[in-house]
Amino acid sequence: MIGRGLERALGILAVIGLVAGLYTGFLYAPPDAVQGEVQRIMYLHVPLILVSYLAFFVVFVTSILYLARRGERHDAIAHSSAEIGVLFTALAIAAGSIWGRPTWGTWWTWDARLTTTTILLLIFIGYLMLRALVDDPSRGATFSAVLGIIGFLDVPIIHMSVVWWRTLHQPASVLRPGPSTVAPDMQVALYTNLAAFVLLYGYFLVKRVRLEEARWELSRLRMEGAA
Amino acid sequence: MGAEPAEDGGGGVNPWPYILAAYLLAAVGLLCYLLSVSRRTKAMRAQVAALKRGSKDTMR
Repeated sequence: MIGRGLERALGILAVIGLVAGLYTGFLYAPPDAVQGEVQRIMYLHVPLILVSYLAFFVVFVTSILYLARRGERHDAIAHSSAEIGVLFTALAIAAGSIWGRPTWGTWWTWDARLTTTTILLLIFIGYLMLRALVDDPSRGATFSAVLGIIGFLDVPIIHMSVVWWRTLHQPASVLRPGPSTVAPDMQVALYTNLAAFVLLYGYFLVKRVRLEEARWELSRLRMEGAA
Repeated sequence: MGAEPAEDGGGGVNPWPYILAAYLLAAVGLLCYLLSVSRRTKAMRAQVAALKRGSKDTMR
């Protein structure tokens, strides 16, 4: 899939990106005029949730490709991306909850954006459980591909939730029609962190797919041994 | 007249414990995941190597 050298380069670039993200987020960007310093959690929370959307989009595309072509690699990428997506979504929810306490006065509220994001997390935890519970790997891959496609449909609902329902959560500031509502200095910090997390996602994905490759080799050797 | 940024978000709360908690939690979560993938891959490869060694011994 991807050479060891490229994997290492991706890892190094991700680390450089994260250091640059911390620098721009904490030292370059000014504090928010309304929220003050606590708004710096945005440089973590927003990239985490946007990269989780990307991870689930990859699940969506590779699941369709798996159902169409039955390629093991598509299934491995879907499985790996779903696992990383669950991690990023859980961390985004946790960071959002910590941000909510000093700004909204509560750790959690059943707001439309928070609720639909929690549903997304639960769908993909279910996806991972399904894969672990079905004995036949081919059937497990088919069932989870269907769930992966349906699960991704929650992402546009999450994105539009702040438009469709009255919510406590602020409206979209990045993926929105028209100019961004974020100040230019803050945009630098936000997009640097977003790029760093995309690189980190790519690095995690390559490493996680390597685990799937080792798993295939193990099951192939076991089958050869049994024959 | 420009508004001075509020250090505490206007709520009288020290924001830094929240900021540190969010970033530390993310760092620990991401690091633990990376370690978990590396360990699982290592364990899987060790099993593959053991099976390959076993099949070579059987062939002899």
